[in-house]
Amino acid sequence: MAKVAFIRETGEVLGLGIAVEGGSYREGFYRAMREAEVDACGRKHGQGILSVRRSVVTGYGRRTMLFPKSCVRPEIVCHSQGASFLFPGTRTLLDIGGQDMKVARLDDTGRILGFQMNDRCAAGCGRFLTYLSDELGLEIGEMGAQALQAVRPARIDSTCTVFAGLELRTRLAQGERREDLLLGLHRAVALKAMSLVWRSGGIIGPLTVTGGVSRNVAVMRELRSLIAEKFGDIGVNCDSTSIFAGAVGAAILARQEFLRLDASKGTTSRGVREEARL
Amino acid sequence: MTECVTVGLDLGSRYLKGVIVRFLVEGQGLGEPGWHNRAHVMGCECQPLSRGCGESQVRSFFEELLREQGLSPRDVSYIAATGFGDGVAFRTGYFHTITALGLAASFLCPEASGLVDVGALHGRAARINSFGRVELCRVTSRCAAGLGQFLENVKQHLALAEEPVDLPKEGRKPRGISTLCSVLAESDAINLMNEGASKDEIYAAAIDFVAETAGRELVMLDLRDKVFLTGGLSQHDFFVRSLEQRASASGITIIRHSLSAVAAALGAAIWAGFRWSRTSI
Repeated sequence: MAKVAFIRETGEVLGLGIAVEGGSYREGFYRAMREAEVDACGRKHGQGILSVRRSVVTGYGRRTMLFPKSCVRPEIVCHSQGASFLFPGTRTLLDIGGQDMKVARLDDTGRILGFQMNDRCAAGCGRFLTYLSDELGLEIGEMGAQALQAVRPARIDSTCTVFAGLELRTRLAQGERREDLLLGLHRAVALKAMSLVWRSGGIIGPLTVTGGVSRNVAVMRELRSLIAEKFGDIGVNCDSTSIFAGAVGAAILARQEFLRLDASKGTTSRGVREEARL
Repeated sequence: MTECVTVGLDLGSRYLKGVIVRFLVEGQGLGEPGWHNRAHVMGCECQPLSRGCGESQVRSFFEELLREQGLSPRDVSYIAATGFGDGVAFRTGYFHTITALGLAASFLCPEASGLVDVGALHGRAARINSFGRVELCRVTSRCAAGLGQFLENVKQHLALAEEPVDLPKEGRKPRGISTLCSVLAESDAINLMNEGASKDEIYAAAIDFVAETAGRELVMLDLRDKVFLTGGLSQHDFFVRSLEQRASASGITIIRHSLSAVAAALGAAIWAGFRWSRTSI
């Protein structure tokens, strides 16, 4: 998914947009830009009207989009900044994205003290859930809600996403309830996240969950219960804006640079599009 | 002289395979050196597994397989399952896949000193003796990277309906495709397309990676001379060509057969004859 955030010079979030890439980062980016513009100015305004002083790009599409190198920032930095901005006081960041999972320990300004990342494997990431939703013929948005209807959560033994799909098929054929298996799959994601949290040295303070998987109610419920079990009553921050943490963090970095450099030259949101097309 | 008909059923990750074998058994039954060469393949079948494949699909597949040869379940002396088939209720016995593959490799290629099996989700390599017994084997861990499903995922994401007619022979590695995860390989394919690599180039790189994974297994087992190729990818010409190139560098000749894709079912059916002769004669 492509996410875009606009932030005012004064630091408030002006508009947020999200769109499915659908095979091309560029198309997803354009759609997310439009969404963010609509969020900022309303639908009656045309495209490209916002005055953009500086932009920062991050995530998997950052190199494909052909933005100038000076605009590119690492994902973990953007997510840390975004998490600290959206949830002040965040000291641990857990980012569960489509293709990777990261845990970072932060200071009170959102600077990274240390971080761990998963291996190059889809298990435990958003792609794990989308792959299995395809297997079941379910919309990804329905997965979490269905999982919460489980009566007796199943234990999923497979680590590999493809093998988990096979296990799911086999166990469904053996008559196990779909909801029970679904909750097992969601718990597997939460357990994977917990293992990365342990690997990174545990939770040092309020935890903020970012990335697309933060939208999944079943993963979040399982995660909250595992965290409460292991770390006690520590705050777990997550809301509908968590998915935008990377984009918001990128916008914050852009704003910081703008304020530091006091750049006189700016562009419009149409200009940002054209920059990406170069 | 007694006639014995056995059936081997292999429940793979993607396909259901079945083979019917007939033996003419005399005297002490089967078991003398080279006994497996007395098997006669009557028929074979391969069918994609439906989602949530259950006992009913396996049974109707089995009955259809017999019907094609003019047989009924009463004519079958032993039903041997292999692969994920240990749960099939109507089976007589079960054989491990690698055990079945070893015997099938020896039956289809008596000079084979080893086998390499590349299926959808599992990869195996084994050193076998002249009787088809497995002496040493390696099996991939619970990860689908570098196997048939990986190739299928890449192909699906590239929206390639058919196998390309020809693949680029030079420069077959367009900046690499993920070698660690089948699922993330799809995303890599998208990234590579966004970077301008052609679909054929990306698909060729994926094939090369699968061949490289299989080739590594051959080297790890220190296999020599003739190695028999089994599994679904044995019918994939580009993959076989790529594997042959890698194997020839280690002095290995890759042999395949039209029955390679159903080798596990065949091996199970042949073993079934042996087990039947030990219990029934």
